[in-house]
Amino acid sequence: MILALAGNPNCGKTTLFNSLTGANQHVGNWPGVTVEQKRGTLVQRPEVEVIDLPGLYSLNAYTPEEEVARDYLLHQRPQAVINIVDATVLERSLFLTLQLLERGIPVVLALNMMDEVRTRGDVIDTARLSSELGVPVVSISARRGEGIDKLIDTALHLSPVECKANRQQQMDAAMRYKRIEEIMRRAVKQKQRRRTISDRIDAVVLHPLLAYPVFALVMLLVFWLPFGSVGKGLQQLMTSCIEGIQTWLSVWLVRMSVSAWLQGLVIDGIFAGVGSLMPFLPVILLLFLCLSLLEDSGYMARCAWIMDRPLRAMGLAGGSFIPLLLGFGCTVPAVMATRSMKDQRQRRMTVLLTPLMSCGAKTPVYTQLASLFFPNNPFRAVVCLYAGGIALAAGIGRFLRGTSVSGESASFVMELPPYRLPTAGNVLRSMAHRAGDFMKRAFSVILLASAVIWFLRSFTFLIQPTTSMEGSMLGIVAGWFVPIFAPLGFGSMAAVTALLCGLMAKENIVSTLMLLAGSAGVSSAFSGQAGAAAYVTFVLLYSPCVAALTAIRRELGSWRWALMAALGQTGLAWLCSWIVFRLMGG
Amino acid sequence: MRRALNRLKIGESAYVVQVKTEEPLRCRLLDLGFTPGTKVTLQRMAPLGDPLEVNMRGYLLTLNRRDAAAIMVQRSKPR
Repeated sequence: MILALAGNPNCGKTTLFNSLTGANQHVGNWPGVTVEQKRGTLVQRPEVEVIDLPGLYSLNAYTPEEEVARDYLLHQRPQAVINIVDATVLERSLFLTLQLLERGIPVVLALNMMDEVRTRGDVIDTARLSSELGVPVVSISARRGEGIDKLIDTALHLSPVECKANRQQQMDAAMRYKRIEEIMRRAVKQKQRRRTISDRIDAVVLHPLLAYPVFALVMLLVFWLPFGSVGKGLQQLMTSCIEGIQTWLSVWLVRMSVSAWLQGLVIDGIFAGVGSLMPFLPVILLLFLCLSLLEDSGYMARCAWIMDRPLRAMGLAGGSFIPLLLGFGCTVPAVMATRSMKDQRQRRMTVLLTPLMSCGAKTPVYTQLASLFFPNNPFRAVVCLYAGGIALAAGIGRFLRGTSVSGESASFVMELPPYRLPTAGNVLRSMAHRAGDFMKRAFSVILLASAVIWFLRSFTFLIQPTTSMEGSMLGIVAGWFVPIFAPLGFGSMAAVTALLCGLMAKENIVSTLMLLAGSAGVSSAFSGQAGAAAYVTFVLLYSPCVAALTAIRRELGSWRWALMAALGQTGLAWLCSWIVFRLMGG
Repeated sequence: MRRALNRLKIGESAYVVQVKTEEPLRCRLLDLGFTPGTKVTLQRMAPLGDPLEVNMRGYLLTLNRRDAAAIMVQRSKPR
């Protein structure tokens, strides 16, 4: 048995999905966070599968994301559909409901946010609504978990045959809304609208003079929290923990008289690699905390609104804002978030510019090198890098505007959802998901890479142990690439190997540097401050990692664009690094 | 008197007469509720003058000035 969840964006669909399945999933206020088909099984009835469809306003799909939902509803013919609606905007929401009914799709209507409706003083006669529509109607509050059991029970007892028999003549939009107005008159009593809290917040936040200052302040906070003193404090705490464990472990290994090569593998290989990354976990979590608060509160949609005009100057649109901002977390979900964009060329531009928004995995490199080479003001160095990425994206966007890659700007039609307090459950779920992701990478890709690099560094091609880097397998291979990077001030084996490993996952860069140079020796990998500055510039701009390239290929439909992103960005990185190196007097 | 939606003053309300633009945008605007006779209020405009924010059928929608120009409205409710 399959249950599908369908509804408008921002109606609380994903929250309902979470409480139905207990699954690990992200919830946002941006129309279209659910870019993938999410599946799960009912907590109480594991034999029932639940599918969370992307949000859609109408079966006349407008965005690629809506097409996914429409195709599923019309062609897969699920046995039962829970049509969840935000009861505070019932009028518009019922449009999709009527369309579903016309098609004879078996529907149970879930009226979400009924607590808010009651607070407003409105009354919805659910029995009347049910008889008008001819489908069961259940009042729920997804965030409080009210009415969920009744909803499940109703959905599991739907009769598809009856619904098919109810299939009606298809209407046009005007007729549907006429019918909806009629239903609203009979089943809903609305109190006179007063200014809501949302209106009051908007009066300040979207004020013509205050909008941009507020925006700048919020963005500053979003970056200060992870990269400023809060993040730094947590990072130091984590570092001392890891060092403690490492000391304890090496003592223990000696006491157990473990062979020298195994000690080397564990301490110098795995621990130096994976362990060096752990202190960055809190930084990345704080960044994702900020992003998910922005999303869940509804402010992100406002950002898109005020940024539409400036983004148009770069051949993008307001819809590009959310993918670009998510890009500071991770390029993969950011690229997928472009599916809620209508215009193909704008979407392509957004996908191609997103990797220039420095992703969270590159953060360790910046903080590590900035505090090493720019001890006076590491925060400013990091800010410069982020700003540099944004400025370059703006420049490239501006340059390509009006060409065949970018094209004329298309329409930006979007709902501004009311502000809602993010629920702790949703935010924690999304952070736990990110932490899990980070740990999984640390203990799979990065652990393996650390072990392999340790092996390549410690042995020659004849599998003889060696202590000299030049004679090791790694030294010889990296030696081929070193001349390319010598003009940039980081033509060292450690620096170059780290870049190569970074193609698998950017977290690898720091772990590899630490592994090959050791904490004290990291500075030896670069020609002074200028070399280090050129290096972080290169890291900021060079080819996206394999996971991101795969996502780009999937979204743009061909390897051509992914390859172009990889090569183009690497070329750009080389050029910019060279300029930085020269400017810094290297 | 007929006007385009973008000609409304901030805070002013009017009723939709028709949507004159190309598909698929026309279809989307109708599906979102811009059907003839619908009351719309121009809520505010973005700090740089574009896009606009309109209040309609109990929710807030943003659209570009250019697209709003395709939505014809009038002061009095059509019959």
